[in-house]
Amino acid sequence: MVILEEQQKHSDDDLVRACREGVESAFEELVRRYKDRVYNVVYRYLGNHEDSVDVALEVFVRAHRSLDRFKGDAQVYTWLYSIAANAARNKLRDRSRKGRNKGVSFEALQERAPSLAQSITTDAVNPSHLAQKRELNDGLKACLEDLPDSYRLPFVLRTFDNLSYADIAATVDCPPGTIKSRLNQARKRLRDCLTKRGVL
Amino acid sequence: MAPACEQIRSEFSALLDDELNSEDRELVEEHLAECAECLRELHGFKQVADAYRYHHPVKAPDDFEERLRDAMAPAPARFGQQWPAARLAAAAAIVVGIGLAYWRMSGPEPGAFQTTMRAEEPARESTADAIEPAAEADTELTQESMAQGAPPEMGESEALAGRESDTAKAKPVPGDQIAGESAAEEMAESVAKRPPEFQGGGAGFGGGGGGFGGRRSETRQRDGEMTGRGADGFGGAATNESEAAPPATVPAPPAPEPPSASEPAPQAKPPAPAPASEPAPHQLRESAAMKDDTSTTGDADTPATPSRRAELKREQPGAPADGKELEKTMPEAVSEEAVVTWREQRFSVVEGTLEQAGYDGEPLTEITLLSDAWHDILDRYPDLVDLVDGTQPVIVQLDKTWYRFKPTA
Repeated sequence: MVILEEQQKHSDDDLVRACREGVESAFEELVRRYKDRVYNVVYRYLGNHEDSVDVALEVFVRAHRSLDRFKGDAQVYTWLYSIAANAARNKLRDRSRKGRNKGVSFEALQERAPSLAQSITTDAVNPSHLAQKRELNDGLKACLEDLPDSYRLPFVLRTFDNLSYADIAATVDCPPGTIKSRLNQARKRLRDCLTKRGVL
Repeated sequence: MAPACEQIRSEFSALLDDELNSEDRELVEEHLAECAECLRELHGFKQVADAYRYHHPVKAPDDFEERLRDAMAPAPARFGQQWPAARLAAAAAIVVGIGLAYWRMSGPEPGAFQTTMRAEEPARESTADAIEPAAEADTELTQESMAQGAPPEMGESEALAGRESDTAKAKPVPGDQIAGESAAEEMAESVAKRPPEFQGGGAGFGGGGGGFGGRRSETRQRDGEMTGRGADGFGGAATNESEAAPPATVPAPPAPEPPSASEPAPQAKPPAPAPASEPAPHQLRESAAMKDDTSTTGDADTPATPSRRAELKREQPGAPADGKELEKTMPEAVSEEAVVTWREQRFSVVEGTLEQAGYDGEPLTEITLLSDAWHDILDRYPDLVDLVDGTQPVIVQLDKTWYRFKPTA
């Protein structure tokens, strides 16, 4: 417990430094700090829990392997997100190559990962409310999946992780002005899509 | 739409995300106070933002950390890096096993081992207890070189170069004294009994374990001395060059001197200048990269079957058990760098960059991952994702153009 408390006081850079020195508990702490954020972003990007688990695991495996190459000139989370973005994009391509463009259905998810399904529906106890929420989720997810990659990633990072334009720009390596423009386009397209689906 | 409206609407996302400076915010708000259309448009943006904002965040599965531990658990490279003695011990066991098998198949000839080994790999003999005079001399010299502070591999190569003529004259030890001694001796014997193309190089296991992943500049300097076989782990020296057929895509580099491996194995080899006949450790370490120095520079984009990154070939290190001893007896210890194959081109890590063999400093087109240019390239070469994983820069030639793909962070 003392060790954990000590680690909680450490900054991300301290943890990375400790990881490089072979302190495995430092890496474990890093994982604990960011696994949910990374998973959430990846899931929103891919729309599929099965693939998201694979990608999220891959993110941390790659991060662990390339700790010595992390220069510290970016935030740890933008570094993790850039790995995640690349891995997620690869997964998308892999998925489309194999013709598997459909995400896991909600029913299948309930069967395989009830806790995950629950996290989507949160505290919706009322069945009709649950159904309504599910439709909203499906519609939102579908419209998000229809977005081109260059719009989807900035939108996901902003909307689901509240990254600043500067951090998003660092993650995808383009100017903040471009991020602003892409977010605008993303929201325009989402608005049109959601309106068409009757969600808005 | 009025130009003013278009410009104002381009700021809507920034407005909603609180990314506008106060001056721009004021301008937008002033316009919205007078433009109902823009206000309606902004409302649509806000609905989208709200719809997704209240979408609760999804958490990682409960067993995520456990699954991560499982995913990270088998890590051969880490194993070797963290526990070099254990790695070397495992490598030694492999070397010995294969060497023993080879020796038993080929059968040693009394005396032949002695002479051949003296001429070619005197450093190996230093751990063979039976080969005392030369071994001790070699050991002393090697230790001396090392004690002088030179990098072991460099010191040894120079030592080996100097000692080669000496060891060639060393008192021969009877073959039966050699046979059946330590496992290292057996392996050393097996080296002598290898086909000529496998003489003179390799870090162990019967000719295997040539080094790879060395410095490209050093590699280039040794171009003429090196062979195209190094990456297989069978000999990094020029001695192999004329004997072994190079791989289809790798023309053999010209050797500056006649390779000594052309002589039959049992015969004593005349002393030769060290670079040609005495593969220095660092040369052998680079042998895998060297192999591809003269690889064709075209053809990364030939329509071959894309290879997965899982084709990562990790050369088996060939080194006997003991760490310190290794440096003396197995100077050609294999580095940890792996060789990757993609579209039949080989890549190795050079100073943190995964570099295609054959790259010789040509101008590069730099592309950052996730940029628009990256996406364009991926559209043309979808399997590039098998090579570029975002953890390190990658230098690769596509359609006669050299690219450097760099991670975003």
